[in-house]
Amino acid sequence: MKFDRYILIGILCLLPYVCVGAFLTAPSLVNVFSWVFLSLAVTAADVVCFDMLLANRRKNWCLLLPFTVLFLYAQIVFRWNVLIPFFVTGQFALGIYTTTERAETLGKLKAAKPLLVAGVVGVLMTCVVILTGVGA
Amino acid sequence: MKFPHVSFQPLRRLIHPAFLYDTSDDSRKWLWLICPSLCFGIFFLHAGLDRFRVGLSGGLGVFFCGLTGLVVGAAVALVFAFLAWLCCRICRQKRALLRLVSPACGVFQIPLLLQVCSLLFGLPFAVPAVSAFGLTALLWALILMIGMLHDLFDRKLWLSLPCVTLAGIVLLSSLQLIVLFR
Repeated sequence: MKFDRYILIGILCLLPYVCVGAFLTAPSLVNVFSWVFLSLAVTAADVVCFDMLLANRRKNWCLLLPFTVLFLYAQIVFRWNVLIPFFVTGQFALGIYTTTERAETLGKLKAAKPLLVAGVVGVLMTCVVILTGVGA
Repeated sequence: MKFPHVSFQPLRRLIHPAFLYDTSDDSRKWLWLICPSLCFGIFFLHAGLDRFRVGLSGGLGVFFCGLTGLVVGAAVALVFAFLAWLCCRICRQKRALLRLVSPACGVFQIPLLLQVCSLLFGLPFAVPAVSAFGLTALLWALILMIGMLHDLFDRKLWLSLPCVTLAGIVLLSSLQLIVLFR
């Protein structure tokens, strides 16, 4: 596994979520540690999964950038509490485009599996975002 | 485990609306404008119905709210198509502006589905579904925009990502306006 600047961009994109989650939601030591551990776990899982899926498409990490910018815009300008929706969607966008690109490189039969996984994750993402919004 | 033979082409086409640039019939491309119009129309109508429910607006207000949404939806899709065409010009790619209309409208397929769900879910149960489904639809539109621009710009991320961010800022600001005046 090669660690390059695109993975670094991905990690930097996750940093604002960690900072906001750790310090702005409820500033306590437990909260800070839980967000740091959560983000470390997500980043590690991302790096391992996406590197396995598509080692020559590391540029896809940059797909997290617009979601991070928009999250910061909504958080700072509008004071919206939209950490989870943007976090989940960014991860999903990264996953779905990496998976479909992977599917394109595979045969028809093998392509079905990653696309099915992407579809299921998409439905889950939608449910999480809606439930977060309804609950807020 | 043997995986069943299922065609995933529709799913692939749904998340890559750029394919409409080549495949959509020239005479029917304007029909695609129904998609964003209905999406925004239902969103505005739902917001209007919420206002009606708390007595802030009358029946005519709700009707005009829905009508405004129809116009805004079509305008947003056309502006987005123009932005995409402008970016294509910047990176010296020959794309016909009118043919970009159908992929720009195709971006709103999943958001439209979500808005229909929002109406079906929000009306009988009286839950605050407008903002929740609105935000979800917006995020889905952003995901599909990335897919569309990614394909149109031959996977040049340095061009597609700023374009999506700009479109996202405009959409978020309009959602904030709707939420404020709802």
